[in-house]
Amino acid sequence: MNLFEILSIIFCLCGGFFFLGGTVGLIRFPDTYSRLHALTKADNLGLGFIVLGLIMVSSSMPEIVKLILIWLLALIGSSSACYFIGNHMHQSNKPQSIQDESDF
Amino acid sequence: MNLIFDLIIAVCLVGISMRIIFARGHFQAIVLFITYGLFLALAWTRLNSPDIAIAEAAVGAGLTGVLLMDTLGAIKTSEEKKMRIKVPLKLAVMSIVLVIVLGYSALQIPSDFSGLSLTVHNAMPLSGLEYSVTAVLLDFRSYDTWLELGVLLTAVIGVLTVRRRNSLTGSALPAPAEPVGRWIIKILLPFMVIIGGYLLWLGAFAPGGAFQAGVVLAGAGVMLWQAGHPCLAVLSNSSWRLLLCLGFSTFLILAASSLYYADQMLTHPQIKAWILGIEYAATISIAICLISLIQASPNSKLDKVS
Amino acid sequence: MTTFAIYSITAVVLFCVGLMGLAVHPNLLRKIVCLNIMAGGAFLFLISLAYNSQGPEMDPVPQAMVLTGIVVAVSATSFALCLTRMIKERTGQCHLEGSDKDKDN
Repeated sequence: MNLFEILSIIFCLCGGFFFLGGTVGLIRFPDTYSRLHALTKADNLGLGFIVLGLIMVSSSMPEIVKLILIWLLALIGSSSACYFIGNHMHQSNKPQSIQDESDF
Repeated sequence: MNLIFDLIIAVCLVGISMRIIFARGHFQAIVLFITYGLFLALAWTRLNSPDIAIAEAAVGAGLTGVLLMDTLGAIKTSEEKKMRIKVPLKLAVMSIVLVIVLGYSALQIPSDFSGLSLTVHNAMPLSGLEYSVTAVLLDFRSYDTWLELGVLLTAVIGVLTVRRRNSLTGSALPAPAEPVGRWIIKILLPFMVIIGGYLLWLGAFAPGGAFQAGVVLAGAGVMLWQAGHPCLAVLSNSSWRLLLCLGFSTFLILAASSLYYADQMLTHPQIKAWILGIEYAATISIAICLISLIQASPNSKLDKVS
Repeated sequence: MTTFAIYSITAVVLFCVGLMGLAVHPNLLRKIVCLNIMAGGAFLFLISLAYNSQGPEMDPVPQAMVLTGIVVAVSATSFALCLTRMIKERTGQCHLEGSDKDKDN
């Protein structure tokens, strides 16, 4: 087992940790805005770590480019989805209590 | 290790499907269904079928989710009460018995059969392609693909007919998106078109092909439409219809011409252009048909002319 | 326990859960979702069979069939949803007549 493989495992575990944090935040946070915050920030960081871990063990340049592209696209997608949900919530002025969202 | 992963996916799939059944709100059920599609895509990856994983993630989770949400918005009543789902005991017992019977017989299937993989493997040089799934779809079983395009076209005609007869709403161009919406189109649309073309090119020798490219392009089209971009609506009525029928009619023309030259339907000469023609026509047709299914027709003129 | 066993049993369970939901739900939209769950189970069973087959590579014919099936399933779903909207527009409710006594939507 060489250095790159060990680094890869460490980065992937870090990514998994951030994903876990994001998911716990999604379940435990009280309102939509903070849930969005947990989802977009923690999960994108987690995905970034996992991509970094996979780059460590990838064999060719096109693979690395594709992995980075996946991360960038996920960043763009999740940040704009976050904006749309937040904007919708803001404009419809829904009450943000936990009861309101409890069935979701 | 892989078995643990399989077990986790299996438990999640069954759990999500149960929750879809027992979900009290329709919205919740639809969101769970999208999750179900994504877990299925993971299962396809585990089962060495990346082609199906791409199609499932784009169609099963993406487009079906959009369709269900769209319908939910149209049929929702304001005083929709949340119901509790009760399963009668008889039905539950029958389902469990069915699971046991079917599961038992599934496990009795002998594992030493080779299916058709050997036949396909030996016939691969005849097709001029290097990837077996694409060869089956576009060459060996091109009847299936042809009839599938026919089913898709029939569904589009059916949807258009029902919409027009009942003057259902929902096919007008949505309001133009705010800056973020326009920005995301500017970034994502070129990527999606490139990915669609890449998948189409990849299909000759690796997982990818007409279906996957078609569904990715359809996703791009739906995004454009939802953001209120007018570029799909400027296509004239007749050219839209032409694109709808493109895939089916290409197959029809090729089948008729091969009948004329070789006395057999859909046998093809050893030229790349044949397969490429089918592939491109199928891709464009699948994309246009799927877009039409979602918004009936991006050209609202189609709904006005009767 | 093999991968084939896990996925084929899951497929059977998904199919039966979908069938049960199809019978239980009075609402047409939910019935369509359940039909899609059943379709997912059937596809999963086909592919787990292909995965289990012996040969030089994985059997490509079931894969091609499922790819075709996914597109056919989405076209059938969209037509069914369109009919649901028509029923809603005509009758004001979206469950089948006589499918259930209680009139909750």
